[in-house]
Amino acid sequence: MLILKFSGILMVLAAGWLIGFGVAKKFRLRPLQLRNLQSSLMMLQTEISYTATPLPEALTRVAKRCEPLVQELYLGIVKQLNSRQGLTAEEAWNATLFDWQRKSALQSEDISILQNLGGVLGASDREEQVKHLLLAREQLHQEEIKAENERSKNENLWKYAGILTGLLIVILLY
Amino acid sequence: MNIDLVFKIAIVGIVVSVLHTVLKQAGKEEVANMVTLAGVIVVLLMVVQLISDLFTVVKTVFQLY
Repeated sequence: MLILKFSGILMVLAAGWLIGFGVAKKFRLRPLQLRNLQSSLMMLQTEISYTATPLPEALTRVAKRCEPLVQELYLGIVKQLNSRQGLTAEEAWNATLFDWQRKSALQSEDISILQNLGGVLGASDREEQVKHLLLAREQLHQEEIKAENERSKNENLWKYAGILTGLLIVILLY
Repeated sequence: MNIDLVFKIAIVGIVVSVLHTVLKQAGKEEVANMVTLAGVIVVLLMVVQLISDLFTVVKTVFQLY
């Protein structure tokens, strides 16, 4: 009976700890991912403006130099574009973004910035694309600052609150 | 007299006070106050039986039936 009780205590504590850390992780990862996205967009801009590479090829090249998560997004888009289903760049971009959002810690406002960008890429002239890439990077930068603020407020809070709530539940039910 | 209850209340007090501090640090004052209030209510529920016992004892001692 005692073993049952203690395993229950451990499970409740672990659940509280995991929930707290899971939420804290989202807050911690969001600024990092926004930063990675910005640098990848910068590389994409170079590909488009100086070497005028076609979009699938440019995305593949950028993907090689990115963090794994961003890489996944770009390779997904390339895969959609190369699947010969007659998708435009915008459709491929949006379809991949939608799937990718669940794996990332990004929120809908970050995704909508990327969606706006997807409508322009590969569908207008070089200067126009560069302008939109700059705009998207600027917007992502604003989001990053906001996300960083939220992180400093909420990350530690969720780490402690999770495990303390677990502890409280254990004590109340003991 | 059950000494376990005293320890239980003490631990609840410690945990609630730490939670209050953490929440206050994060700028969530209202939530911190709600948590403290919830702690007080929970402890009150724990001791309400003992308080009623005390009243009964007092009544018995002074024969106030």
